[in-house]
Amino acid sequence: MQKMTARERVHSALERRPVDRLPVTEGFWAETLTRWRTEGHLGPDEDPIDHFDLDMRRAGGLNCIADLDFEPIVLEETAETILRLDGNGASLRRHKLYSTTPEHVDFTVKERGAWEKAIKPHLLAIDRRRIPFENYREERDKAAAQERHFCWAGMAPFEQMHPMCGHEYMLMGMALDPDWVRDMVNTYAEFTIRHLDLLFAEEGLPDSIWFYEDMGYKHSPFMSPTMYAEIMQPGHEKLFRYAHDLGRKVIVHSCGYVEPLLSGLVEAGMDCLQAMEVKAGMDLPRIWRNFGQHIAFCGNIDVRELVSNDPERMRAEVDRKIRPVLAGGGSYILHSDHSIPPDVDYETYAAFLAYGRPLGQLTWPTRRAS
Amino acid sequence: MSIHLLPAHVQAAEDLVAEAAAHGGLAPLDIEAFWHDDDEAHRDIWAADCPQMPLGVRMSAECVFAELDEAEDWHRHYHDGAYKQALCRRYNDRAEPIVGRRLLDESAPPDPSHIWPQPKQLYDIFEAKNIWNNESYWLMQVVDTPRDLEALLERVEKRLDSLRDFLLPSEWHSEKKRLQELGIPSPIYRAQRGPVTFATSIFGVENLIYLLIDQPDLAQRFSCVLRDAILARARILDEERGWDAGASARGWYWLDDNCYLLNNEMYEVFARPILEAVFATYSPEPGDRRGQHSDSDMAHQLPSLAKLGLNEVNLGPNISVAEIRQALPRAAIHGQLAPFTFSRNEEVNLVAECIRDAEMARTQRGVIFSTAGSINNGSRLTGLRLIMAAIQRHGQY
Repeated sequence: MQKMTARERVHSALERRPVDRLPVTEGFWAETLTRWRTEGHLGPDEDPIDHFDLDMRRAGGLNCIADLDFEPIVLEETAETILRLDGNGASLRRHKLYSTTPEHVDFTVKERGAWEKAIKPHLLAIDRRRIPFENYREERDKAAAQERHFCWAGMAPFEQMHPMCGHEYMLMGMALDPDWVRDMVNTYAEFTIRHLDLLFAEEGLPDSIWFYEDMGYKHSPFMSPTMYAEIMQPGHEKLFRYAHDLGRKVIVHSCGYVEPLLSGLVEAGMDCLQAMEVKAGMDLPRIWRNFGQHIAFCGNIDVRELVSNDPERMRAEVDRKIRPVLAGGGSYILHSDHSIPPDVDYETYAAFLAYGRPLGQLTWPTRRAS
Repeated sequence: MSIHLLPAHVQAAEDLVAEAAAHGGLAPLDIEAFWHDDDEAHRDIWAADCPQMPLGVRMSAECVFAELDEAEDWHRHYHDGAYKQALCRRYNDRAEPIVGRRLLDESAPPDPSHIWPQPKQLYDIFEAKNIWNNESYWLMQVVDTPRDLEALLERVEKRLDSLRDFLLPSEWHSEKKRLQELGIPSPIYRAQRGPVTFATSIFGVENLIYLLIDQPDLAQRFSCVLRDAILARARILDEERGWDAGASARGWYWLDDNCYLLNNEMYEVFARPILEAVFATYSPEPGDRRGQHSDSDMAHQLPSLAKLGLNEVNLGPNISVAEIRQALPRAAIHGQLAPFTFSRNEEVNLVAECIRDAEMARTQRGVIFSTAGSINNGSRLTGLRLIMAAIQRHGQY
């Protein structure tokens, strides 16, 4: 097969058509890059996308804080943590020494009334300050110059709601006042579309659209499939239809176990599922059997196998996960099941790419035959 | 973490702990007088002349390891009667000079020829396995989807049609005559892992909550089948004992740690009807035991427990004696010492929590000072002596 550019390769994978080699994208912890730089594998300012010749660039996430004029208030500070009240009316405690999920301490919005009074009015109009025009332009130009695929990447409603009202209030709302949460989902979906319209009108379209939407945790989604269908799915349909109307494919990132929600996500129009955390219970061969006729996949390589830094274990994991998909004519983008932590040796990651990429060639004869 | 403590409680506790420290860690205590008054207090915990807040803590066989500085071997502890007996005997040797009583059961394991064959459990009826894993038994999940649950319920319903054959092991009838002639009564069924804990174990916590929201009809059917299975198992074992419905032993006790995971509306739909039906059959009179242990955050379920007329509760430590008493005016309250306060040997908090509860109990009585949940390994005899001293000094009515 003729060699493809990275842009063509990802495009083909998302279209579920053959590729010359598996496209690759990845997330690296800052500590990982620091380690690899310290060890001399990467230059001080070298971009890992360039270094590893990854196929995709992502940029453009919106600032979803409700009140952009609110100056965050420090409520408490220790040597290790800082607790702030932010423009979402949320009090979140963050670690100062490393990045991690913030502790949810308190929220102004615990029910519909506070949402309607304190948050929703801020989300109804376009505010240019929410859009990172410059960063989007730079990354898109860089991708174009390198013939890489360029994604707009940002939050979808579930990820936009919980920093404002917290998971617990949001989930209790889904059970006890679903109309309230439906209103939030719809408001954030329309908010996103309004701002993307402006961004794309001024800066041009991306090649695809990537939504972050962590809807699961270990062994369970945050909601039932019925609740997804009734509350979340209408918002997703609106967003995914918007992307499709622009002629762009939709990649959905979700941490945690979301397999029970996949029927709904596929119905909403998702084109590619990304991450698929193994330790949460996601298993690509099984998911492929159920949904491979509808979507492409990206991820599910158990990072614990990479952390072992054992080439045999790494190859076995890649074989177990990817070969059944490709043998069945499926479409796949190489990625860990979340991101690369600093325990992964540079050599292991390089070997992972060297072993995984050529597997893309397996897809061609199978697909032609089918 | 201790809650509802006042500065005066802490001050009094610090004083007592300091006195204990000055006496080699042994709190000042008239042991003989304490047990005399405690026996008197247990005679009627509500009586106007009840001398002091009765003590419910009798330690537990789990405490042997930390107290004796023995390596933990939980599997052997559960399965080797002679081993457990030896540990309990050594423990009691240590307990006697500290608290004045031999607290743990040190009787010999029963003669195997005097043990009835084991009837199948409720979880067997629902096809669940109780598996030893990570130092304890765990009831494993059976089904994961509403569709599989529906199929399971159909199988259980069929099983209930001829439950006796399923429940009793093949050797039951041959052993029955021999054991009855020896005067050894057959087992009966008057305590059960509660409906929410049982259902969340075999179907999953989130699954049950989602079921209650999304498919209330199936959730109700689950509840009904569970109720029917409990009643049927109890009835068959009664009949094997030779009791008819009118002459059986009274009282029922539930262990339902997970019921706090449902909101009250869900608890009312799924769980309360089961408790109501079982109590109606086995605790029909006001004095019959209606007990529940739930060592979790139970405040939101108190209205339901009140409707059920519970007269004995052992609830988690985040709720106070006063709150429980308000909802359940005539329930014996076993609590409200936080289990971790005891097992972490937080001496000042131990005493302060005891004083706190004695004050809350003084007017209406009815509190048996115990852990608000289990007594865990790590809880020490010197801690129990501190509690006894606290009752003797501050817990007199």
